Amino acid sequence: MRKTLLCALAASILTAPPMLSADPGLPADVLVNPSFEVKTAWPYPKQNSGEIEWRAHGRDLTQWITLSYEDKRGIPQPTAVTFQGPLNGNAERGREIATNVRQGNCVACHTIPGANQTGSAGPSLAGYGAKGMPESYVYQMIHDPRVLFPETVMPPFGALNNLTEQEIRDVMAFINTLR
Amino acid sequence: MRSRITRLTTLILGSGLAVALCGSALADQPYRQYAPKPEGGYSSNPHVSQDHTKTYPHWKDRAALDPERVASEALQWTTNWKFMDPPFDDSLHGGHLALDRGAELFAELNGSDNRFARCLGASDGNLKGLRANHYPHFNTELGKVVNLEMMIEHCAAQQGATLAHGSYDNSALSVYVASHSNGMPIRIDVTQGELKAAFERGQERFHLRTGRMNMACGTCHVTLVGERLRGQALTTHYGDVAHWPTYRTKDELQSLHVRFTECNRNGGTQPLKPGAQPYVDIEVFLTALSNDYPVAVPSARD
Repeated sequence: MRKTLLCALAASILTAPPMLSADPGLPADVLVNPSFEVKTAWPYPKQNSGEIEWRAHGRDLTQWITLSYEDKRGIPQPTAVTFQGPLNGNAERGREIATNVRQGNCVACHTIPGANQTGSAGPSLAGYGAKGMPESYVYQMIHDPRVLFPETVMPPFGALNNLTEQEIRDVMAFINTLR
Repeated sequence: MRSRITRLTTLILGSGLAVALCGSALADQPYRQYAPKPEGGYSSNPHVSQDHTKTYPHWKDRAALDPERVASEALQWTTNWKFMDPPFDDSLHGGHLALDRGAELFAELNGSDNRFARCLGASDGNLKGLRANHYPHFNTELGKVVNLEMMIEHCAAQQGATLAHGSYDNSALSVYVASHSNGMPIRIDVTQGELKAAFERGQERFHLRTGRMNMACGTCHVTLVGERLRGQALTTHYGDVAHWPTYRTKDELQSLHVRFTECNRNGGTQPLKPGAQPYVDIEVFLTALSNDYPVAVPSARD
């Protein structure tokens, strides 16, 4: 136990955060269909058949780490980022990103005024824009909230390549309109 | 000043030593994160009553669920969806059609010599208790831990039939086999041997954060249990394997591993193939957390 902790400490001090591999060399037990445009597949059990109909998922997930024992990729360690203004975000695009399941999908966890089937895993975003949170804080929260809350369930949207820099700014512009 | 330099030197030397000592281990272990386990962790000999959400009393007896609790928007999650299991729900649904299909397939494959039942582990041809007490187990002939659906695929293949793990017919047959354990408490022993190892691996995989959202199974079923994600209330993972395969009301008969592929996709993780080792291990882990909870099929879930 002590050795593990020491190793972790040494690693956090001396090694650079590992990056997601561009060419991961996928594990053998992942469910992909290389002939699909979207490689991520899922098994549809068509009725009265002993065979599986493979269907494409709505989004290619192969760039992210899996539960396979063969998957030796890592994820970036929590990363502090510096916000540089001006914001230059498009609030309308931000709403689309925040409420779309294939994009930010913030709505899965947060209540967002005007959106249906919201979640309660994270705090409501109603009135968030009126709270006067510094842009640097909001930017860090969306890019990589683990820096501020190490145990948070909120995904690191920037650090894990879910949202681009511009998309993060669009979402920031949108939640700033929630007053 | 001098003492600060000394401390710094010690830190650098110490860190260097640690890296030298652990260098190979670090290279093998890229950075990953874990979702916290329930308070107090898991027993090495789990029982369904150890449910971390303390909701077990509300779903312990499926026949005696409180209808008011079932109808309550705020409290429904505390019934752990058992209101869609028989006998509380005895309405006709796609799970019953699957059961009929499974019976037909079984009769065909079993012949007059009980060859299919014997291959599944019922030496006398009697399927009673097979689902509740025999699966998953370490199969010495195959040299690995197998679940019921993997053995259905294996035993069908021995007769030249294709019943792919995750296919409708495989799951239908699994529902049929499980129906012979209806009302029987699940009991697997994870305190020793290969199942103990699989249980421990499954526990680790269940709490390992993964995918584009950096979420673990445990993120939803431990950290966020009782909360809502996209309108759906998250429930305990104790007592959950007793009703599989199940009929999903979106009209899809799902085995447990097919459900895992959906869980993974919902959480933004590239799914694995049905029968993949991490899925088998998670199934062993979850089965142990259902110890002493009775099997109930055919079931349905939204």
